[in-house]
Parts: sequence; C-alpha cells; structure tokens
Amino acid sequence: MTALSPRAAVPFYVCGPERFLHIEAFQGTAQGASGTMRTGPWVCDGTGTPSPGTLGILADSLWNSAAITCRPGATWGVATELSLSFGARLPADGSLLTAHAAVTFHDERCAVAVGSITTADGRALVNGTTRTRFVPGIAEPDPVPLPADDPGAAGIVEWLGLAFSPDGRTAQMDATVSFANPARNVHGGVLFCASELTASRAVAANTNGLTVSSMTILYLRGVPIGERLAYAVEVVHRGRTSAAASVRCHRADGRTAALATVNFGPAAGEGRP
Amino acid sequence: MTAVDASRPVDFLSCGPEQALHIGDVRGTAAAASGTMHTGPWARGSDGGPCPGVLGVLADVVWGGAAVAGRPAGMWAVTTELSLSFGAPVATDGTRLLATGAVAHLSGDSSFATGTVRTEDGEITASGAVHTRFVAGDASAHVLPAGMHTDADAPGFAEWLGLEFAPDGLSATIPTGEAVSNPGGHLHGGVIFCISELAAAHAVSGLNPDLRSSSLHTVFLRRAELGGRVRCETDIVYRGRTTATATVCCLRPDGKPCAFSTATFGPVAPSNG
Repeated sequence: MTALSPRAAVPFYVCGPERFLHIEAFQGTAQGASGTMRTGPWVCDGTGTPSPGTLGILADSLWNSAAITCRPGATWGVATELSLSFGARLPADGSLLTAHAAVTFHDERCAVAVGSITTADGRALVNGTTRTRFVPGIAEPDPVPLPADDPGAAGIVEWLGLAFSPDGRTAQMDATVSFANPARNVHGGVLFCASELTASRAVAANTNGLTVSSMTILYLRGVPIGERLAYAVEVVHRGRTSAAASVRCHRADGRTAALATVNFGPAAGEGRP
Repeated sequence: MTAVDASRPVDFLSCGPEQALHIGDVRGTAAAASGTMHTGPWARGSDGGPCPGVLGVLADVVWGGAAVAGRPAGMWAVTTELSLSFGAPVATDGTRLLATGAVAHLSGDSSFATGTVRTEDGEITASGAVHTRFVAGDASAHVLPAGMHTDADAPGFAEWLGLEFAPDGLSATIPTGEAVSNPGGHLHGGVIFCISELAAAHAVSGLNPDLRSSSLHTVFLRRAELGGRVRCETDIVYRGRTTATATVCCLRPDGKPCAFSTATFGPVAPSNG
C-alpha cells in the first residue's frame, strides 16, 4: 500500500448540497478528517420526518474528500460506491453533527475510506464506507459557481424538486447546478439522498413503522448537470419487520447512473451514546 | 438509550464453516472483539484464486460476535445484513488474518457492529459492518466436534461447499447439510455471503477475467433451513471496461428468497499482493 502523505490536507469544496445542508469546513488529513453539519428543517422530507439520506451528502462529501487526497498526480477521484449503516434517529433540532473519516486502503487506482457520523451527545448515526476510483483528467477542479440562495425550500424533497408518481414507485428530478459536485456532475450524495427518499416512499416506511437500516449505492455513470433524472424502485422484499428495495437512477439517455439497495428495519430507539 | 454490556464475552460457537476455514481464537466483548483465520488453500475460490467471500464467514463470526454480545439478557440474535468492502487480496500462503470488530450502535431490538480484517502486516483486507436483530431464545446446541468438518484435502472453499454452476454461469447451487450450519441449526450467514460472492464472481469473470470483487453487501431476508440445495441467481446489472455490478438472489429449496446481495467488481490491483 502506498504511504499516505502527511501533507494531504483534506479539501473542502462548498457546492450547492453542502451549502443547503449547512455542512461546514473540513479539517485533517487522509488519516483522520472531520467535518460538521448543522441539523434543521432542511434535513426533513415533505412530511417533516428527518431523511437519513441527507447524511449521504455529508458522508459522500467528507469521506471522498479524504479518499481524494490519496490520488496520484494529474488524476481526480470519483466515488464508485457509498455504503452506510444507520443507527440513532437523525435529529432536526438545530444540533451539530460531527463526521469523521479515515482512508483504510489505497493504491494507484482507488481508495477506500471508512467513517462515522455522530450526534452532539455522541450517539452513532452512521457508520460506513466509500470507494473512490482515480481517473485521469483534471487534477484540481475549478470552483463551481454557487447558485443563488434558495431560502424558500422547506425541506430536502422540495429542494431536490423530487416529484413522485402517484403509486410511489418512480420519481423524477431535474439535475440543476444546485446539485453539482466539484467536477460539475451531480453530487453523489444527492443521488444517494434522492434514492433513499424514493425507496422510503415506495415501501411507505413512515406508515409501516419502518426506518432505513442501511443503504448501499453504486455509482455507475456520471450525470452531467442539466439532465432529467428518473428513479425507479423495485421492492425486493417486504415483511412485517423488514423490507428491501432496489432503486435505479436513470439518466436522460436511459442508461443507469446509479443502483441503490435500501434496507429497512423496525424504527429503532435512540442508541447508546 | 441502551448501554453496551462490555462484561459479557463474545460467544464463539465453532461450526463447520469456521472449522473448514481455520477460524479461531475468537474473544472479547461487544466493545472490542477479535478473531483469527489462518489462510491456506481452503481460502481459494472456484477458479483456484483467492476468494474474498470467505472473509464473510470470519466477519460474521467476529463482528457478528460483538453485535450478539450486546444483546439483552435472555435473547439471541440473528444477522440481518453483512457488508464488506475488500482491500488487499486474501492470502492463501498460511499467514494469519486478524479480524476486529466493535458495536457501533445498539438499541433494544437490534445492533450493528463495524470492523476490519487485517493481514499480519497490518494491511486492510476488508472493512465493513454487520447488522443483527435480537430474537427470543438462545443458541441451540449445534456446536460440532472440533475437526469434524475440516477437510484437509479440499482444494478450496468452493469445492468444500460442493458449489456447482449451471452451464450459463449465472446460477450456482450448494447442498445444505449439517456442515454448513450456523449455531442455530440454519444455513450459516457467512456461507450465504460467500456463495453469493462466488456466484457473482463466476458470472462476471466469464465476461471480463480482469475484474475482482471490490465489495459485497448481503441482506438476509429469511432463514434457510438445512436440507436440499440453495440456489444463487446472478443478474449482471452493469458491465464496463474497469467495473462491473451484479445482484445475486439466493433462493431456498422452496423457491423463496433467503438473501439478496449487491456485488461490485474492479480491476485486479497490481501492487497489493
């Protein structure tokens, strides 16, 4: 394994998703990085329920920033998968969440980072893993122009502009510049979050006493800004106390951009600090 | 809020898969569990190469052991999900792998633990998480005599399992005798994980032999009773030049799915042997 550079300071790119979710400055190196996110109504779905998928944006942003610091020269890093296990319920009370990340494996082609997100009182919200692949091209992206502030969005569903079909099995959204990552594609955390929201709607998680217990998303193709995205859910399993759904995110050309597996269990307690 | 009982030791109930893979020295508590696996030809897959899927058995035992140790009094636990991200290839040279795990989240009815598997040199071979759900009862006495199922002549775990592939390469089956039992007398979750990895890898290698498993996420939907053959059906959902993604549905003899897995593949790493 290539030695990590002690000078590999984790970069922090403020794009639309980071700004909307009040994600704040990252610090540290690939061996140990941290960042924060302020909770609030912006993490809630259309029913006022906090969406665990929003944590995918924080995880994708910080954990991949840690992984990207390990890239060889003249390459950039693109996330290929993000896998999260969910613990305590996500608060929306204005408290501060803290995320940590560390790269556990890397070579000249890819890096794996693990991380966690905890509440202000130390309860585990998320643990997980991300995998980043290094691709030739840009070595350092130009800053993405931030879109005008959108203080009117009441929550994550409205901000995403996610429109669900009446049967809850499909959804659509426009990939605007608000959702761009530093490489000017749709932010991986946005695809994660929209997939979670769509799957939760399809299994009617809120009314069935279920909550997301884990989720894995595989990023298969980049999504340029300006595309219309379509999500389709297949409920793989539905039991009394668990459910599993597979979500495909299609680009405008019909190709699959991302494939997510969302698992549900009983709405759990608060967990240990 | 539930506190972790760090005084209860991890139960190590060695069954056939643990013995076949030379897994032992499992100890610790919910707060810190560990165990070892001696590598050897038993860690080979159906193609004679290293089989990362065997790490699912080790992770299920050690990480799952930590999660189970955190159960409330009078309860047992079942694995509901197992997720591994693979790093350095699994050795087959007689060296020892060390797995460590700890509970990251605990509630009254479920928990999840995270962990790593490292080589003797400290390189990470896998990292990931296991989810468990607490159920009434206790482990039954399915502990088998030491050595009962260790077959020194088996050239690999796939052969030990009796894995057979259909001519189209997309379907694989194993017999489910006592040898592949877990302590509860059902098909071992680590074995389900491993055969899902083997099935997906076989299907993908037929299309691109230069790819190897980079991650596997398995959600356990129903327990599988022993007797008859379980079947893994692989669906390759994406195939690129340098990556591939497959889903694997594991079906019981009665045709009902017992597990659903998502597998990803990346290029063979040239420098991490």
